[in-house]
Amino acid sequence: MTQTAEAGNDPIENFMSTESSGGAAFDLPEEYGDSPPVADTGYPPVQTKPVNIFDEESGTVIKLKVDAAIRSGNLVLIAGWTTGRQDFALRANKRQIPFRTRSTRRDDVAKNLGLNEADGIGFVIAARCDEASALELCFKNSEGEVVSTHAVLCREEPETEFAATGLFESAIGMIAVTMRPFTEAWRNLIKTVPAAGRACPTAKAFIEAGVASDITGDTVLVGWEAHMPGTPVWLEDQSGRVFTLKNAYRRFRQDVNDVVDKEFGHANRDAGFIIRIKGGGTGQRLYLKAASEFGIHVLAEVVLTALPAAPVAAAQWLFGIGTAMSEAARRVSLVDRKVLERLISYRQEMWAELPVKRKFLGQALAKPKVSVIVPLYGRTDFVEHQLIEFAEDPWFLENAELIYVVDDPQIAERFLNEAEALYRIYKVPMSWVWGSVNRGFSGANNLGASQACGEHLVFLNSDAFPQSKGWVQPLLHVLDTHPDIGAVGPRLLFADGSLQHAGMQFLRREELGIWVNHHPNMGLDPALDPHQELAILPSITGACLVMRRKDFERIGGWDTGYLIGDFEDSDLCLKLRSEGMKVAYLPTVQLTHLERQSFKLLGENEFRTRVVIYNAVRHQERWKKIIELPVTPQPTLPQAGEQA
Amino acid sequence: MTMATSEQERILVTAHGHPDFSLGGGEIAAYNLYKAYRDHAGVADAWYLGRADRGRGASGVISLRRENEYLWEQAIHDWDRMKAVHQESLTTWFADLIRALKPTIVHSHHYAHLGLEHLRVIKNVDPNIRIYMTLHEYMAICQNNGQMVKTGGFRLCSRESFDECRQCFPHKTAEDFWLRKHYFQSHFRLVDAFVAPSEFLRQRYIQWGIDPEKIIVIENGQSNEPALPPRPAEDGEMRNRFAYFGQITQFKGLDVVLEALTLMSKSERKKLVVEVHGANLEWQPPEYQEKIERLRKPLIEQGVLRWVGPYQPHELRARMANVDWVLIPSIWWENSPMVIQEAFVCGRPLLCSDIGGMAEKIQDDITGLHVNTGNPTAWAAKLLKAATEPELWEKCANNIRRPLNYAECADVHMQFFNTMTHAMKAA
Repeated sequence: MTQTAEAGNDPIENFMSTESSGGAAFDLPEEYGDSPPVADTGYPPVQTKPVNIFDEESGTVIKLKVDAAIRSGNLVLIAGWTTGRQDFALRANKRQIPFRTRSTRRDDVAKNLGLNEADGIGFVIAARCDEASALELCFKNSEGEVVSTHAVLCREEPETEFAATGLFESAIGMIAVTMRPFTEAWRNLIKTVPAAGRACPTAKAFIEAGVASDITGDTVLVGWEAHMPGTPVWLEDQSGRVFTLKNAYRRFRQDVNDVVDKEFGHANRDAGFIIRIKGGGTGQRLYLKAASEFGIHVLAEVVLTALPAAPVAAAQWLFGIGTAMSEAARRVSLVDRKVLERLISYRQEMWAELPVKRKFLGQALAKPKVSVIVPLYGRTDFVEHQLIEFAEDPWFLENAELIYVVDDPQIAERFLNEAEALYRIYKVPMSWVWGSVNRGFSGANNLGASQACGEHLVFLNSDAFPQSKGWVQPLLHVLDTHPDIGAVGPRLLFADGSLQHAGMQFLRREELGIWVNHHPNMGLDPALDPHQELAILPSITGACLVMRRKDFERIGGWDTGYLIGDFEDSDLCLKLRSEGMKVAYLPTVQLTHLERQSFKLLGENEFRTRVVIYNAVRHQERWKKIIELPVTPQPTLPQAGEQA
Repeated sequence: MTMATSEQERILVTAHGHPDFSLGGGEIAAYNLYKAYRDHAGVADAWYLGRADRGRGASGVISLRRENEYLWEQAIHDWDRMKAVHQESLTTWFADLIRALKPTIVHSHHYAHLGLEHLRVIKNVDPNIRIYMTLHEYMAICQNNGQMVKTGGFRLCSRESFDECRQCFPHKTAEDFWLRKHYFQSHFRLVDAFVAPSEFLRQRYIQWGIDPEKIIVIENGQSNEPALPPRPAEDGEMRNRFAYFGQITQFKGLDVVLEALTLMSKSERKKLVVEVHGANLEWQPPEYQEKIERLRKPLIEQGVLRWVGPYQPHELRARMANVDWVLIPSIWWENSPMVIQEAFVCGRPLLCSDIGGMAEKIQDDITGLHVNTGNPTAWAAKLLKAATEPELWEKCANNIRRPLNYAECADVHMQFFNTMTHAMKAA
């Protein structure tokens, strides 16, 4: 007798009708003790005991039993057996859904039924199904038509321990591929899936390089992978931690494309990857894995070498990974920033513990109005030229605390001696500070400021030289008479007398995807400077920048997170502006600024460009809104005492 | 008339050498001036401080050479900016000397080997001390040995600028030249006034940035000796004996004269004699020595050229007595070559290149002849003209005005100092 559950039938009703028609069509043998009595289970018939299905094509009665039906999250697993063809359809809420199925071996069933062959009797079905919906397992005939439908009720199973046991074990690979990957349940399951022992048919990959930083716990990998949709691919470290490639920087690679295009088609579109993960360690292995029905495949692996701890060396390694300049900004956002940011801040954590030496030459002022802070790197011969000017400036000698911050171990000893000789000749009271290591422009300025006791701070480059005495007072006057101005800077001229700095703007470099700091009107005769009086501008250079000390301390000083240096001055200005303060340019005070290229001390032009891109990305990710404001021409400000 | 003691000056003369040890024109002029100051009525006392190398490096030690004369063992380590090697002695022993001597004026004749810092030290000790500086060449303007000749050849340079100077020194930047000029100008601001031995040099320094009101031309003083009588010549003998005096270097242009003689025909060469009283050929580059040797050999054999050799200063007059004309064929500007003044003292007119200090001190066809610089053909023509044109030598010799002697020179300086002091006080 054939039982057919038509679409739309209530499984309970079916169950009832089976009962009322005089008992089960099939008597359960004693061994099926684990199947509870029909009346108590609340489960549909096919799950309580085998149902008989008359197969018209073969003229035989096929038996079908569902032994376990589990829902775990959106994963549905059905295990059972049948003596017929395993030609199923699966419906959720009356609609067919895709599923995977795998034949399994059921010795127990074969024995009970007296069958010769135990393979191919059992089956495991795995499907993804989000709806808390009514499931039906359907039999299809050789023409693909559904000929019998059986309701299936799933048991909710939050954990996936089931997967390792019994009925589902041999299909675990299939299950792993069907589950939504990278969930916690999936990660747990993956641990139990055996290795496939053969090449993965639906994914290919290669890891070209891998480095790890034991300091920050980051690992960076470079390679490529291509996979057919539906094949989960992931990274795994030695301790079994799993990482997706979701946040990798991806790009098209012609070389990979040439190799795998035929196999993978457009699936290999962005095969190249550079990724940063928080895992791995030097000397450890890192694996790129995939799952197929056959199990887990190791597509590629690498032994991680050490990423240099020094930020510049690490940057040289990272920026050495080929990426087109036009892509560099995007890549920096995804990969380099996170690694380098941490290396930089880690290195700087030790600054607080390093000894700081300070030596005073001449009589220190008790209450200086201003502290002039000058970082020194590479060259010290500029100092004498500054002293030549300061020595002729009576206001300076009476009101300024001059602090040279030595920021270069290679000049430290030499300068300490030179300072003595210079003081004896120029008689300008000053002090020098040496903080044991190179800290960069921001770090050195912060160190100087931490030692300063003036009410105001003047940050001055060593290669900037006042053109006349009495240059500081007008700058202080701007701050004293405009409480809303947070920083002010003078005009700077090149050695040949042309404009070097007349304020700064932000300029979009579309081909690199970044905003850079720009000096408008550079190189022109100063008479052509559009600003001939105090003006409010988007930002000013750090080569000569004057602030109140309390403002400086409130905003936390100079940011030291930029790689090597750059954008630190606009960053400082934007910190002030984000608080509502303004940044001003006073062209009536002029200094000569030789603007030597400190980057010349570094070398490679290409590396330098990538450093600029790194810093630009960091800068614009912090200050995007303010940078993108259109620059409207500002009316020049009235001096204090004038009518507006 | 004796001046009131309070108005008398106390003058310290400083120079980059002492004539006892080195015979450059600059230190000789400085030393002569020092001696003349000592004898001047307006000077209470005068001293000389000369840099010396006593064989033990820049020890910084100051020592007494003889009464009122000191030596300082100092040196330069940074010729870009004239920075002294021995820094400590600047603010110790040198400052001690200034404090002890209490000069009212320091007359600086050179900062080579001494450095520029000592000028600031003087003002630190006492800002009322006036510093006057005589400029002997273009060291402040030109990094190529202060000659304003372009590197790598003999092209003359007319003006400095950061970019032009950088072309002469490609490994330096324009900014390096800004720094150098800043350094020199700031130290020159400490100097109250400048003396230039030629108008030509004065104009160069004005162009460079010295205030024209603060720089004057005073020629170096010369000895009091009378003019020499003309060389004894027989009747009908022409004034055809020429002489070159001085160091033989590539810039001095002796090879141009030798080439001029080579260009002449045999019969032309019989009309004149050229004597070379020269020194230091053996220190010149080998190629130059070879060139001179190659040129002079046949000329000496012919008898038109006589290679007499070096001389001591006291021998100069005797040698000049035997010649009619003095040659100064330099291919660079020259400032105020000593030989011109010495020739004038002796009453000898000159043939010179038509540039710079030479063309200024010698007037064409009046006290001598100008010749197109570095041009052997022109030299050949002018030599023959001078040798054969009747009465030309007499006319030129008669036009020569005796140069200032040492005492007169000191007096002119004193008047200048006086004027400048009053101008300063009025300001």
